[in-house]
Amino acid sequence: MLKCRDIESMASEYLDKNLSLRQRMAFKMHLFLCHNCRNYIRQLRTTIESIRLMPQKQPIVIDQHVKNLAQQLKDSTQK
Amino acid sequence: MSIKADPPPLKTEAELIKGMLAGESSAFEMTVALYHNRMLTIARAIIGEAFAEEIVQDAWLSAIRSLNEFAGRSSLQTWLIQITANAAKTRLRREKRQVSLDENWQQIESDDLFDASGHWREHISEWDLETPEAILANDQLSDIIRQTFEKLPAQQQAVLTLYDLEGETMPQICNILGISASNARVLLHRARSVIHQQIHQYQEND
Repeated sequence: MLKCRDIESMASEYLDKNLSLRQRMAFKMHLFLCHNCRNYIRQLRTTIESIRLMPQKQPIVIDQHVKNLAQQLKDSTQK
Repeated sequence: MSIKADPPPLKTEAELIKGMLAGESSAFEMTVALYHNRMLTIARAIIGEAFAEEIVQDAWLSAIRSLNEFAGRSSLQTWLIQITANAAKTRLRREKRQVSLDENWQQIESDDLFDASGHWREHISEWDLETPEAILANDQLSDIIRQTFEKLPAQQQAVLTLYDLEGETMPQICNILGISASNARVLLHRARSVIHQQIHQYQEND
């Protein structure tokens, strides 16, 4: 029988669908019985989805560092 | 009357390559802005902070020199990451030293989370902000996630970037970073756990 500690360490594998059928069954059985782990898995799933959405919230920044490097690269093509 | 102009549309990779081959400054700037940080993340994960900037600089120059030969078999980003990874690995071999990457990083100790019988020490409650949209709409929380991501140890950040942000497969990630599958899996879970903990703390305290 898996412990909560096992659920935590296997959680990413479970959410990424990398567990064997036997492991997955044992995992689901624990989730069925354990309210804390059900909440933990829900939280981790939301965390992963938030990470995956994160770049869409970030603007593309063209600062001086980017401009300098871009100029250096452009110059290198003209040598 | 004020006219509000829309920002210029994001160019496709093909347009960026065409622009760079034609010597357009804006194409170089957009390409650097889009991919430079990703390349740095990969270089840091392989060779550490000290050489990362230099490796990425060389990788850019080498990529731009062979831009004509880029046949588009992969995406521009994948190609740039591959060039960076190869340059970092070559340098690592040349340096003949083991670069220490993940030292001094406070791991979440599982003893803090679980009791001796392996059960959670504390009750795990549902979050108030329970969707990714709600989490990212909260400016403070969104900043916490971004800052935590930026502070992750280099290897964790690289695996998380490649897997969760770029959608690369595990075999591809192991190939790029030169690490084993089991190591990559552990790094991925640690990175996600650190960010989870930060979101959790915020939601518990708020």
